[in-house]
Amino acid sequence: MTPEMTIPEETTGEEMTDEEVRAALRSLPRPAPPADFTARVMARVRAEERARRRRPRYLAAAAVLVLGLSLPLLFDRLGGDPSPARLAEAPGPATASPPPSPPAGESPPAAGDISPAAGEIVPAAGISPVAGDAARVELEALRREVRRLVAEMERARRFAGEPVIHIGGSDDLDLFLDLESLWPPEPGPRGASLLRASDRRPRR
Amino acid sequence: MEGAALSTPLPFVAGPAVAVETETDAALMERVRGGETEAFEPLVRRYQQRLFGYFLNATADASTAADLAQETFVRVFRAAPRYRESGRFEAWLFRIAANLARSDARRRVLRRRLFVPESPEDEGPIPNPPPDGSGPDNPDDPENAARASEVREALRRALPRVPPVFREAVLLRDVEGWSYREIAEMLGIEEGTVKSRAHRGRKRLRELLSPQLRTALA
Repeated sequence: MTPEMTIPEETTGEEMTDEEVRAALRSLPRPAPPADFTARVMARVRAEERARRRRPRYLAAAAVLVLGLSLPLLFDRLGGDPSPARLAEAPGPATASPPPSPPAGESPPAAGDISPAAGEIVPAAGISPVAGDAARVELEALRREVRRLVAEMERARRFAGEPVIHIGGSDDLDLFLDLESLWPPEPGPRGASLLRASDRRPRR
Repeated sequence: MEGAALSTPLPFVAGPAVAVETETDAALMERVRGGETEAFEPLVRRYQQRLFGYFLNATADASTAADLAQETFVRVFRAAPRYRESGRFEAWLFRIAANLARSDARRRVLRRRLFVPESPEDEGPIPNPPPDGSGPDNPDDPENAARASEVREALRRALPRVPPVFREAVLLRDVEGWSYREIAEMLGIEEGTVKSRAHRGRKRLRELLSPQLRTALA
């Protein structure tokens, strides 16, 4: 209800006092909001809730993307030996126990051949099954991509007249890819870079 | 937009028929935090009229007031996971509302400075409103009720012309009824500053209202 406000007659022609202003302010009515106000607020609130529920899925997708982008760097750090055993040693996402090493005399698995068992994702606590499924799908796509890149590398290696390929650069710097160092017979020192910079242009 | 809202007398409504909710604000917020979105609706119903009235007094525009009130509730909902029952829910609600009102006032000032040339009408006392018979007329004393209605109308027209920081203190203290201490906590300022701002706000209102009152009460 609107509070009652009385205006003393003696204020006529005079400036209002502080108390009178306060009384007038207290007497201000409280109009009701539009009829559909509650419904509009709740519609927005429900939309917020839906957006909030979708957020973890976006986060999982972003995590998978970061993982995908960091895989090439990880291979580089491993000195070109992305065998499951080395992958298991490397810091990274939680994985199941690494598969047994190949028996002596057998060649190590082909580069990039990450078996599903080796890369099996162990769901972390708190990750929803939906996010886990999305991560598995992404990981499978990454595995396919790695296999494709390894196959391409093998082809490039076979066809190269020289084991060094010029892959670009600028006026001041040339970049070469040394295929010999990519998959050396003996693993090179950990962290050895595949790329070599040179100030000379390649001779073709 | 403001002009349109001002020229139309606002309905004097005592308040919607709200179902009696026995659950406390804190209990409802706890349910909201637990994922029960629908538990937020009683809170909206409980405070929508107060919030709408607060913003209406601050902006003198019903559409802006509704938008700001809605935005306040959405922000409260968004912040629900961080809500702890350490203080009154109502104070928290009004802190968010006061921040929004301040941002809105800043935007309006900026817009006016950028797009609308300074008008001499923005200063000086407010003009007399057209005779208005609406209002909660007291059947026992219709003359006094009409005068009171005119003063209220003049007040509503004057409030948006009080500088935002002073208006904020006046509205929270004199209209919403918060103590100086509560307002100080709400706004993160000293209690003395709140008192000073409220006093200066009332002074400005007196200046704006006096010519109006002289006419109305003569």
